[in-house]
Amino acid sequence: MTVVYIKAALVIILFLVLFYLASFILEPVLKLSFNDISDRLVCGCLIYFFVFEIICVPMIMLKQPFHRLVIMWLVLLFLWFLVLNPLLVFKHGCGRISLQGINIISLIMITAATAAVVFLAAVSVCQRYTAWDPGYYIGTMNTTLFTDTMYLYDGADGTPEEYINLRYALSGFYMQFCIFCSILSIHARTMAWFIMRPLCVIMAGLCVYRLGCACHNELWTGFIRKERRVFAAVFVVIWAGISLYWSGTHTTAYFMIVRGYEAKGWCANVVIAAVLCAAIMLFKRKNEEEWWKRLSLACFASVPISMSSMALVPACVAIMALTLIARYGQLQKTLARATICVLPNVMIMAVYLASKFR
Amino acid sequence: MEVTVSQALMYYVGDWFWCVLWAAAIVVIMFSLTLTNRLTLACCMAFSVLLLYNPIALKLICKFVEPYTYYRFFWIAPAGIIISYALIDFMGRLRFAGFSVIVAVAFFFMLSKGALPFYKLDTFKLPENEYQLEGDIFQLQDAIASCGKSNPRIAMPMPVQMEYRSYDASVETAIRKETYQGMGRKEYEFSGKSRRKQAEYVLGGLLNNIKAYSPEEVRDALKLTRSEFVISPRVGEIYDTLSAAGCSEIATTDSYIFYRVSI
Repeated sequence: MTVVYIKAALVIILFLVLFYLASFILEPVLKLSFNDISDRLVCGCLIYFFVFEIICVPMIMLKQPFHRLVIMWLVLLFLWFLVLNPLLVFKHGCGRISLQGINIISLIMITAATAAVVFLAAVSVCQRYTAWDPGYYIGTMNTTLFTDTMYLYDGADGTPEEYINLRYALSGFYMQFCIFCSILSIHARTMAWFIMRPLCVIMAGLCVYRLGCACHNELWTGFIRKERRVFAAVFVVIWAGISLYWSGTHTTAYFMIVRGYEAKGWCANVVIAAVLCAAIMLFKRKNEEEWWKRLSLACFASVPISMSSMALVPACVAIMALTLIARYGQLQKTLARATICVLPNVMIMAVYLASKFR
Repeated sequence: MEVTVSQALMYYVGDWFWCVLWAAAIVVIMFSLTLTNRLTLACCMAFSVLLLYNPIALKLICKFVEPYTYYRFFWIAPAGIIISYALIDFMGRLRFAGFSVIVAVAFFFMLSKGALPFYKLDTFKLPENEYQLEGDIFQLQDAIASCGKSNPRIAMPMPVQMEYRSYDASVETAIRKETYQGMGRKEYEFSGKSRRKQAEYVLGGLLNNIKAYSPEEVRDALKLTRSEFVISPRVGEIYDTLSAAGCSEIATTDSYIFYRVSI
């Protein structure tokens, strides 16, 4: 089993590197500035899944063989990371990771936060979960790899589908991980239990760290005052502790630790946290333009990560927009921006509902 | 299945302990905010109730999604993050680090008394292999592979079907997932279903040892579902019925028997 654990850890690191590299496109295109690795990883993850969706969904709808998607995505990654990124960095430069204000306390707390998240990830690997959902989702990944098709067979029973089920096929989440199953020769079950699940925990931890940075309150006294990194790290440690005990079968913690291999788990713990982080910063009225862009990024990447976001994210943005209007006014501007943010979700919801009620 | 907002809320948080903790956290945050921020939070909560968390919104939403999944709308007010924030906010206002540590320790002591951690759940188990599977599935896969039939169509009991195709996608299952899910519901009705569905119910009922059927009924069900192989638990009555219905045993594992259908 040691070899499996090492292989899984290496693949998780590979995904984190991919997310990190993906973030470089955001600086020149959306004019975002990053001063933290966690920020790069979260935004990189969002843009990574968004770009993948643009490639993947048309290929699913055109009933293309899966190996063609693998080749296309690898070519695109090659062009993106090895051609476009160096060009962009050469032309525009890239934001430096700021180490300002890092001291021994913040280093200790960041180490403690990392340890807490790694512990949660380890607990997630040891969860044995048998139900119809893993049967279907992992079955779909396994069927994709076995038949070289995408969503043309039912993942749970293997029978040919009469039509592509848009409830699942409008999100490229599972196909993304299938690509790495295919090129790294990893079984779908190994990918789900040993890689997707701990990766969900790690990404959720990073999102909570970002939320901690967003929530930091300069007015505090005591040992977490002033330094937002210390506050964010303590926030992650406490969140990890609470998540460890919040073991009801429908809680967000359960969807992270036990069902983190499912897109739903990522929606509950990564997408929603990213949207909330942007919402909090918009309430604080700091770098308003930039945080609207970050919110739109989280919204645009929400359906590519999970179909559950189709309704949840617009609901969340609607509540945020109404509250912003109630507090600051600016009805037209806020409504227009919020509408743009949720436009992809609404369009995908319309397509899904049209297919459901046809 | 009908669901109320409070039921969905309880689905989400798990139990009253967490519900109280969540409510207390919101109160703590409310008191810690400035007046303007307090009003903003109150406004946000009011809009949430108006738009999502009321019986009318529930009815509207349930026209488009399964009522059972309504609880997911509570994800946008993540209790775990809110409780964490309330705790750290409370700790942040204490003058000395020592007090903060005492508060944190007291909180987690209370948590350990009121909730079960993930590492104490029944689902917690050190993985034995890279697939997180147990013995029988591997034995069954060997038996199926030894038949030499590509894409065999197999009727299998629910626990096997839940896991088998995620391990080996080369098989088709004769009983569909929807049938098994239908059998699990309270309102499960045998009559009024298509012949194919009724046949799946017969096989599902037999293989999961829920109900006994005559060999003739089982033979018809095997024909209608076009089953080529059957996996059944090692139960004498099921073995007798399947043998009389024209199934011949090929292999046995610790808990199951694998048959070829020869009708």
